[in-house]
Amino acid sequence: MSNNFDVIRAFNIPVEAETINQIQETHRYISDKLILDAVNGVNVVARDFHEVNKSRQSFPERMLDNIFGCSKKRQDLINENVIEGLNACTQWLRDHDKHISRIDQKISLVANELSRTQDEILKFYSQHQKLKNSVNELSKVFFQFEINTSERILYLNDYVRRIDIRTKAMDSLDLELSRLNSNKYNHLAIPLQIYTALDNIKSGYGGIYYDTLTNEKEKNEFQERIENEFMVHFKEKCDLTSFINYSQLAEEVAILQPIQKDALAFISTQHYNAIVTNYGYSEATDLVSILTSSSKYNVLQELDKRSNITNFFTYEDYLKTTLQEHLKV
Amino acid sequence: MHSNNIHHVQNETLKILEETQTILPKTQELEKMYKEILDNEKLKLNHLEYVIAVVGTVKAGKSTTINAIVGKEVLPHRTEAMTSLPTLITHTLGQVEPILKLPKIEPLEMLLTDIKQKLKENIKSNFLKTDEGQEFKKIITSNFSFSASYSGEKNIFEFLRTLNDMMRIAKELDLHPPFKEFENVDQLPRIEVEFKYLKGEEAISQARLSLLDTPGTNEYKHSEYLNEILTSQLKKASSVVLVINYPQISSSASGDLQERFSQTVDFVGKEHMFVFANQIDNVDKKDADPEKIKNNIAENKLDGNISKDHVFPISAKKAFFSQLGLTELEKHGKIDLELPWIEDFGKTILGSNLEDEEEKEEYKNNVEKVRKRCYKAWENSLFQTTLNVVIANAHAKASFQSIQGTLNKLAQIINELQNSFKIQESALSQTIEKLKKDIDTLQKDIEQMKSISQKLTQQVGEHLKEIKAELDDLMNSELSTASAKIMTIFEEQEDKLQLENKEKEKVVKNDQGLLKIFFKSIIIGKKSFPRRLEELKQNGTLTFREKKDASEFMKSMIKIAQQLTLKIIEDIETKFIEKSTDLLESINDSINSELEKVIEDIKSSLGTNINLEFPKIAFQTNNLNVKKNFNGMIKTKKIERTQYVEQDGFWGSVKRTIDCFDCNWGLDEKTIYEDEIIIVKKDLEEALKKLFDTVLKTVLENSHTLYTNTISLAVKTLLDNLIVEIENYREEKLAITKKREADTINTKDEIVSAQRLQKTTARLQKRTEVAQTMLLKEMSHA
Ligand SMILES: Nc1nc2c(ncn2[C@@H]2O[C@H](COP(=O)(O)OP(=O)(O)OP(=O)(O)O)[C@@H](O)[C@H]2O)c(=O)[nH]1
Ligand SMILES: [Mg+2]
Repeated sequence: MSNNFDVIRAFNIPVEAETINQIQETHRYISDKLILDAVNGVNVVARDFHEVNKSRQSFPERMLDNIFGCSKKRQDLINENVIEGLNACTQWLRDHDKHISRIDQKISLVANELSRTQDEILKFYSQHQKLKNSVNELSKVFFQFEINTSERILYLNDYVRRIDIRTKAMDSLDLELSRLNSNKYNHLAIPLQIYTALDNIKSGYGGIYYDTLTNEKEKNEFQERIENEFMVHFKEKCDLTSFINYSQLAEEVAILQPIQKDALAFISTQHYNAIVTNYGYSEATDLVSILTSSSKYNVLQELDKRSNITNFFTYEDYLKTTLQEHLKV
Repeated sequence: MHSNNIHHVQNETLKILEETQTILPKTQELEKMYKEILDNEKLKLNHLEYVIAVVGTVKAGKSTTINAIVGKEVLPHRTEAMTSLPTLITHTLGQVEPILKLPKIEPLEMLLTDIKQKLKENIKSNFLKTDEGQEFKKIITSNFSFSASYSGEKNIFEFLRTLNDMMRIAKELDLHPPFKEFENVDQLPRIEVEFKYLKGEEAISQARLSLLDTPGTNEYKHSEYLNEILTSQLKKASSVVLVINYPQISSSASGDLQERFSQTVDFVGKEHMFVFANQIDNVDKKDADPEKIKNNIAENKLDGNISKDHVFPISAKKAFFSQLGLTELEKHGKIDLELPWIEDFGKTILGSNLEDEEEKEEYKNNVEKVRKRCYKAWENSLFQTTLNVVIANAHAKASFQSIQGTLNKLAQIINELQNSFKIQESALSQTIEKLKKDIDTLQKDIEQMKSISQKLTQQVGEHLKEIKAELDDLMNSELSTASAKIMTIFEEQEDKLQLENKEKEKVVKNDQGLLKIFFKSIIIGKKSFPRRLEELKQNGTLTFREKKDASEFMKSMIKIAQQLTLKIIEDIETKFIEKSTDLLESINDSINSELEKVIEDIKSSLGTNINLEFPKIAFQTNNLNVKKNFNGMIKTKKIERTQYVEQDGFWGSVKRTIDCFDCNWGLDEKTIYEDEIIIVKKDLEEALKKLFDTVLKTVLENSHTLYTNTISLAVKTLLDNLIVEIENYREEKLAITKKREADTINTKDEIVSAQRLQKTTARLQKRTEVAQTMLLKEMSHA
């Protein structure tokens, strides 16, 4: 038995269990995302710099000191712990029936890519002082990792067929709405509440359900359902047709607990990177990423420069765009 | 806050533009075309250019005002009539030493040659008798030639003075200055210099503000040409500043200022029109309260036609010399008391005669006192707030226009891009057979559109002939009625005069009614009344005792003629609009019956949901343009008629004796100066006839241009653009067909990409719409 925190520890990501638990109250899939980031990192560090250039570094550039205690170079984080980390991850994927997330699919995609590009990766590691002796072992680990993740996906697909995934997706929508209704996210500014609640839906059964749908009409209907429910909820909290005031939003973000701010920065930046590596158009996600990862004094300047982010975002447009960006990646 | 919002809209526009740049089609030609358009729009957006025109009476202080804004003595601003050719002064960040560029030398050189030639003929000239005239003669007869640019205040100043003198003497020598050659803004002399005033204004210092210095409007001679330059310049101005000599205006009749105001206000609208009540340093203390002056101008003199917030009492002279002094202090830490302008500086700023050695001594060692006085004078000049308002106003308007232009362009491009991506998607999904068939059908549709386009152009042409004939008739009848009306008035005066005189030779009240003025002029005549009336009846001649009365009478007649002309033009305008509406309706019918069907066909061949713009929508605005053009024409008419009257020699012998335009250069035959001043009826008739001929000609010319340039061109451009657009789409389909046949593309990936790009364009479309709405909202606030 291995839980997600074991994997995090195996990758030697310097984050406390307590911190993870605290963040998890709001962002339910934070540890999955951390693992995904670590796994992805194995791939990323080996790849040509230019290839990843277009995505934004979630860390170390952004130095999420509040989550990770101290800032350590990502390369160091990964390199020394690849074998342990991937092994732990393999274990974890095999065991965690009780926890199903859309991120598993993402991890398996990365695993697939790892094995496809492993020659290159191994070459990179063979040049690395500390790792060159374990290249053989590494190769085995990659192999095992890929097999396991593919098995995991097969299992997932099967599982999804066995259970009533639609009901589970609707449940997850209901759950988020009830959390919103009971003010669980009230420490966040409204746009961030929207982003977070939608993220929780899409990272779990909501996203999986959406992906299993093959029919455009059904997809649109599910999307519309979420949209409608959210509109009903948020129209009580704000005028949906009014524009989001960025400078006021920046103020609200500035007084957010540092851990909360960094968690959002991490999640949205990872999300942003996923969108742009797929040549997608990221607007709302980029807005959240910039809001939470720039200093209060730079936010507005930064937003002025981002041509993909409108200066005139109504809450309604923002909600629709966020949902779109969450579901379509 | 307001300018902040505008900034947000501008920034959003720039963002949309940049995003659009990232999704341009990959076919080289189209990409190049769009790239050029977008780059150009971006440049315009980032480097906003706008013009504030400075107009007004001779010597009101226009040039002084501009010098004060620049903070340097770049324009001649002395006591004799100075500015004779409009000059642009452009704020150029970092250009500390002013540089004058002269894009067109040849016409000036030709004029110079002509002047030299005439001078050899020993012609009589008042100007040449003056010191300045002698100086001028010396300059041009020595080794003088024009150069393409002049650097530094001194050179520029001297060049402009010589230029002004040249224009002035050209009048005396009956040479036509080459004003026509300077109709275009780019052809005018342009001084580039960093404006002292704008240096600290972060937001607007980046933009290129030009001030247009203009000759005073009572420079009547040659003004027909000058007027053309002015009209074309004023049309391009964002705002107009009317500088007046306040002490003079406040003591004269309201009509003068009214007239000047109405001559210019239509170019920019009264929201962008400002009145500078200049020379308040010459106003008695008791009348110098700024609020009082504002009210006097806005309410009394201009009948509430302008808001008093747009009236600014100033002292340009104080503002100018204080800036000059401050610049000098900044540069050298002191003021050199031997500078050429120091005497005026002393008088204006220090209230001191620096010719006097003792007073000179007092300031020599007291830089702080000089500095304080400069600040005080700047404050008293009331220039600071004035400029803040005026420049912000012009800048805002220019921003609005520029942003709106870019947004419209963007909306169009994004729509085209979206169509193109839709076409790509469908071309990638269809069978190749169907694709080929569509491409053929499209070709036929395009041919059909071309023939419809031709037909419409023809239709407009025929209509033009028709309307020309009708206008001709209308004008002829209207003009002869008007002419008759004026002559009747003339004759009625005679009869009334007679009646009134029979009653008694009572004192005439100084009423502003033109009839009274007329009576007055005659009654105060020296000769006995019956004899005069007889004379009038027989000779068709009116004799006046005072030249002032003759000129008042003439002014009244001109006013009547003006009003009648206005009415005629209004009638014609109505007729024209009525006719144009008919035409537009018939064009729209053609479009509905023929074009619409083709477009439907095209839509089905191009794929689903193609959004083609219907010509109908664009025509709506043309209606407004028609009206606008006529407004401009009315303006031109008024001025032209007046000059025409003068130029034609309508004044007859009066011309030489009435100095009603204060132009001493016209008084060449002093010897004929007499007490008797006469106005001849026949001359009036002739003058009217010529005036109305000109009106007729101009109206016809204008309607012609309006039809060919506006309506006909609009139809053509619209259809041509549509054809080009559709041809592009056809090309697109063709290209994809070829690629698919050669199996060189990954159809699946391309479809995904085309879908993704459609989403992006949809988002950009939405953003453009919101930005447009926000802009309009801002505009209505302003
Ligand atoms: N007292 C006083 N005199 C002024 C003021 N402004 C201008 N003048 C004087 O008025 C005269 C004409 O000034 P300009 O600036 O040349 O006037 P302008 O309107 O450009 O004249 P033209 O180009 O000839 O039409 C000069 O002698 C100026 O010194 C002012 O505010 N107060
Ligand atoms: Mg002048």
